[in-house]
Amino acid sequence: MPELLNPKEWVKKYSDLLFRFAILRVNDRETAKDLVQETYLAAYRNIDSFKGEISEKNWLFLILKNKIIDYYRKKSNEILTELDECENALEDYFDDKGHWKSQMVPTGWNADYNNALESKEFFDILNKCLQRLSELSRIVFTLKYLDEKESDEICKELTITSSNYWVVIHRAKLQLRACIEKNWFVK
Amino acid sequence: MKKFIMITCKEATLAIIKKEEGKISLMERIRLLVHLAICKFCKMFEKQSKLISINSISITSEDSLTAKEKEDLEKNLGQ
Repeated sequence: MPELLNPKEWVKKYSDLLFRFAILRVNDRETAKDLVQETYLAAYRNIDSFKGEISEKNWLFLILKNKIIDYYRKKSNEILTELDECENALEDYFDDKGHWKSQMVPTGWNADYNNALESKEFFDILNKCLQRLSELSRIVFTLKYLDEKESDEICKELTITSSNYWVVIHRAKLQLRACIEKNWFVK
Repeated sequence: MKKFIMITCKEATLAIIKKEEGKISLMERIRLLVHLAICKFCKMFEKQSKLISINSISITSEDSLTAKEKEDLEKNLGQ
């Protein structure tokens, strides 16, 4: 066993970090716990293949990320049924001429739009709004904006077309924006 | 010409997102510029969409496992 790995310490040292990463991406406590457990099991099985090129922590995260993608793939049949709804959901925001519906018109937030915000309240709302998205929207949005993947890669991972991708991300952005506006009192 | 260059807010908001990702064609970019020059709502959407994009990377969860859950984890892993 390479010296750099210390499996006895894993649960204590990394469980919360791995769990937080997972729950943000699967939005379900039990699933997140299972994924953390599977990550450790896979790590045990592959201890001999660890070459020490990356840190123990990054190695565990790499395994977890793969487990999450596997989980998305397994669910993809189920979540891809949402694609039809996505197209129709744009009607919530725009009238049949493609104009903003009056109750959906974006209003100002009184924020500095060009910089990262430091308001904890904003992040709480953003997180809450993200968890309210439909499963497919949440997954696509998370892969794009939290994990910073390229859209081509996301399409491949979820077996969706690029036009599917744009429909989903378009709706997700509209939903998030509306949800933040509704919940953020700093307007 | 008017038909050729004018887009709706529905199309403009999608173009805004594509532009953010660097996936917009020259023609789409021109149409968007024209639209944004006359539509303050989409202009606002553009700012807010960008704000969401640049901040999302910092979203974290504050959840943690209970002591019992960690114990169970140790047990299941046979440690």
